[in-house]
Amino acid sequence: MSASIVVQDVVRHYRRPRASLLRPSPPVEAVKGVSFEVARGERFGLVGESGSGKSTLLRLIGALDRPTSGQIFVEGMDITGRRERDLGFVRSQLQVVFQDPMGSLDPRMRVRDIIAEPLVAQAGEGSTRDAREARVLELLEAVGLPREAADRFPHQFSGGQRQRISIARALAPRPTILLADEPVSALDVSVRAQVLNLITEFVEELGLTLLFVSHDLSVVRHTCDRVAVMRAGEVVELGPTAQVYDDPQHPYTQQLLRAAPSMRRALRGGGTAELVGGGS
Amino acid sequence: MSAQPAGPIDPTRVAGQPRVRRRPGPSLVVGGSIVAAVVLMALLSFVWTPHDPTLVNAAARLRDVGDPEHWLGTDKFGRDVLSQVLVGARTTLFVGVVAVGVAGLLGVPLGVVAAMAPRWVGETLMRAMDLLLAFPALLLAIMFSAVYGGSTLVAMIAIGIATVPSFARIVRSGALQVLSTEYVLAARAAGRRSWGIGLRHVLPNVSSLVIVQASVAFAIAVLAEAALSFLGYGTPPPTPSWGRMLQESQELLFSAPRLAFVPGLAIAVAVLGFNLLGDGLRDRYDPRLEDRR
Amino acid sequence: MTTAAAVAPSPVLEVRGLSVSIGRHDLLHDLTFTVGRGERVGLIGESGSGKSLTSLAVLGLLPEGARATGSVRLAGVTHDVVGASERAMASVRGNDVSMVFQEPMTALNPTMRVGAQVAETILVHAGRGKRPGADRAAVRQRVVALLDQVGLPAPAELARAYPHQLSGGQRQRVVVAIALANDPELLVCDEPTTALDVTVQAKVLDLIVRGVEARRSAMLFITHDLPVVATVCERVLVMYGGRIVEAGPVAEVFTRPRHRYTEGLLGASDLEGARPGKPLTTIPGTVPPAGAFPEGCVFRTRCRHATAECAAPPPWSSADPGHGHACVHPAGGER
Repeated sequence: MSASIVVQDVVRHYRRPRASLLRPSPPVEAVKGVSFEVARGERFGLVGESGSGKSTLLRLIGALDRPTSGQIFVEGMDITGRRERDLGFVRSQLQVVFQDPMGSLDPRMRVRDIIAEPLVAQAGEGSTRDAREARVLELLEAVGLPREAADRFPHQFSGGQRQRISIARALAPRPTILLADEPVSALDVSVRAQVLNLITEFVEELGLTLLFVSHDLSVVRHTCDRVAVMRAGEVVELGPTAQVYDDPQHPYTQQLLRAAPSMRRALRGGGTAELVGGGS
Repeated sequence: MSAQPAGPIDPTRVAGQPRVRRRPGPSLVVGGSIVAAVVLMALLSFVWTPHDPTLVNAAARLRDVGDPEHWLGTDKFGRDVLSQVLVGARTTLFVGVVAVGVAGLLGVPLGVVAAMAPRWVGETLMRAMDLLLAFPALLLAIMFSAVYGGSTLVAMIAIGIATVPSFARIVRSGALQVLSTEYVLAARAAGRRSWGIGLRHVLPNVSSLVIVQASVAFAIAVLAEAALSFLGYGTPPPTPSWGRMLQESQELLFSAPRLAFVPGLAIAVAVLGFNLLGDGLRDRYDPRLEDRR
Repeated sequence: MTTAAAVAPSPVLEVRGLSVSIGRHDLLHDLTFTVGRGERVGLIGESGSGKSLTSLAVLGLLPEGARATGSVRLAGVTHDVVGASERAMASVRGNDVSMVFQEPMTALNPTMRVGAQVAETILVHAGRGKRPGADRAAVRQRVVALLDQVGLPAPAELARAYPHQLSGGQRQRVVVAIALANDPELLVCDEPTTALDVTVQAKVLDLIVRGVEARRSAMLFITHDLPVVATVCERVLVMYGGRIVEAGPVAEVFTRPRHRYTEGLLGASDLEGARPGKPLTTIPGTVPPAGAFPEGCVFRTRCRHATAECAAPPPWSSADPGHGHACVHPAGGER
């Protein structure tokens, strides 16, 4: 079985605006030579703090940004260096759920048009208005929203409901790969579990490949089979989730795991000193 | 496959465009009423005016305000001032619509293109706009009139062209903001091409900026027409225009100041109305204010 | 009955029957709680629970148009915070009680050097009451000492930096330094680490706890993050829909929750305990927007155990407002 996503020596530099007239600013190295593969049907987590390059990497894999060097293959196709109009294959195979449930939905569009957007954008022969409408209603039901939701605007929904709309949009073109960029970090605790369950259910039932980006270790631990820990543009540790969490090898992974507050440790009497590694 | 229901859609969030339906502010109410009054005057003038506004009546020259036949009096040719004001409202609206139309039709696409095109194209376009902005609008209008002959239309096209940069700038900055949102990223991920993003996402989301800018530009155009007519480059006689009424009243400024006062007041109130409307719309629709919940 | 209030000396913060409404919306309803001397109390809640409004009410910073009833008393302050004049509150804030906000960028003045901002807090309250008068050199020394205490490297040089020259974590350290500058009786923290990375959060949390402990200050810590509260606090108040629905020691509330909301919240956030890949337990529905919570028990529209009884406001289970719950069908059986 071939890999769903292959990332090979991917580098992404950004140019910073000039601070001096005389010499150009040094480039920001957001991603510095990252390689990994995600197998078909695998749930792969990318964990890191802000500035680790995890979101940049997600955008590169989603063909929303171009790498400075290196190659990315999606379902066997090289997506690097292609023009927007030649990316139709990626757009139909791979969809993205973004972090901000308000910002990722156009406030001026009705939910119906939001969910149908990938269908309209990728309209081939056989895509009729009726077929799209049927698909929209089917998706609304699948994500647990009433039919009336189709006529509403995004601002009429709560954060969790908006994220369901995002998920429905992502599933509309029947992709094989789902990229999720911090999909639950802006949600209330009581709603987070619902949305996480929804994502894992779909991934399982539709046999999707999942690339899940998060700063929250416990969420990735629950959701993913394998995990890559990123720091400053590099993958510092990669392995099966259970192994990385139970027996972290890299000092940064150890630090990250220790720093995350845990209910268990707290109830065992672990205070804040334990988070920063004091007392040991 | 079906998910656990997400709970009811919140009934307190009302359908409609902006997030919160606020009561319209006082400037929106006052500005809107004034603009509505100008529109009504113009419409009324098509079906009824007290007298023929261009009828010269030597028997009724220079009647004062309060005359039973001519409520706002008559000018030195005996033409009815009220009728002229009513018909002049038409000119005012025509002027605004043409100027704003020209500015919007050119400025909005330019702004969107400048935002979406490669960086150097956008920069070049905007520098060209800066150049145009540096050129005084009235001077441009006078040049146009000199070349193409003085008419309201020519003057207003010139004013419109001079207003293009302000539209292009506002639309470009709004469009850049829209282009940096996650929903545009989501649209790209969904497979939308640039033109689709421009039409479906950028334009609708900058429309409120355009509306606000249009009402402000409208006020500027009305003032510019008055100024041009006053200078003799605008609306030619005999079409009634508030600006020309003002000009014709000049020589009688001391003997019959009301002839200057009536059209002057009309211009001032109309300009104030459009400016207030613009302010009111801005308060209501400016996304930067809207986000401050 | 020996209640906690009878044993402990007078609390640092005593809130009695505090209700706040804005327009037609009742946003806080009859809150009663205390924070004892040197005690660290967590206030847990989701969006719309009213937790941030509670913190503002404690500092007398309610937005314009808000109507507050009830009473908020602070140790060492002779007047009630509710209804106090802005002038009266100004000498209390930053002195007897201070606050750490969520956003470290907007909490600092971008045009002022950070040292000057710390010094300002000291100078504003200098010479008042028990505090000595201002002496420039002494204040400067104190500023550097404070910045050093919050773990900032090279504090003397850093005092001359502007906020934008610091990282998010460093800025939040400065904010903590300002909050602790006058050794307040009570420190109120509103999601102080939500905007920070995990490793930075760990350091800032540790810093806050150590700073508070060193001063024997009390702390009211507001957050939506249960593990953070469990790590930082000794006692916890659970808020939902503008009410305190459960209160008690952290170890008890988080291991044997009584209110069905607390139970649901713990289940939904327990990613450590859930089997990987298997569904998490959830609370159905979504948090209603402020002002749209049901009558009676505020949680009943999302509660699997709700019955007709829940349409009436559930009574508090004990005589001690600091330990109990407001649920007719509590988890773990009727008591």
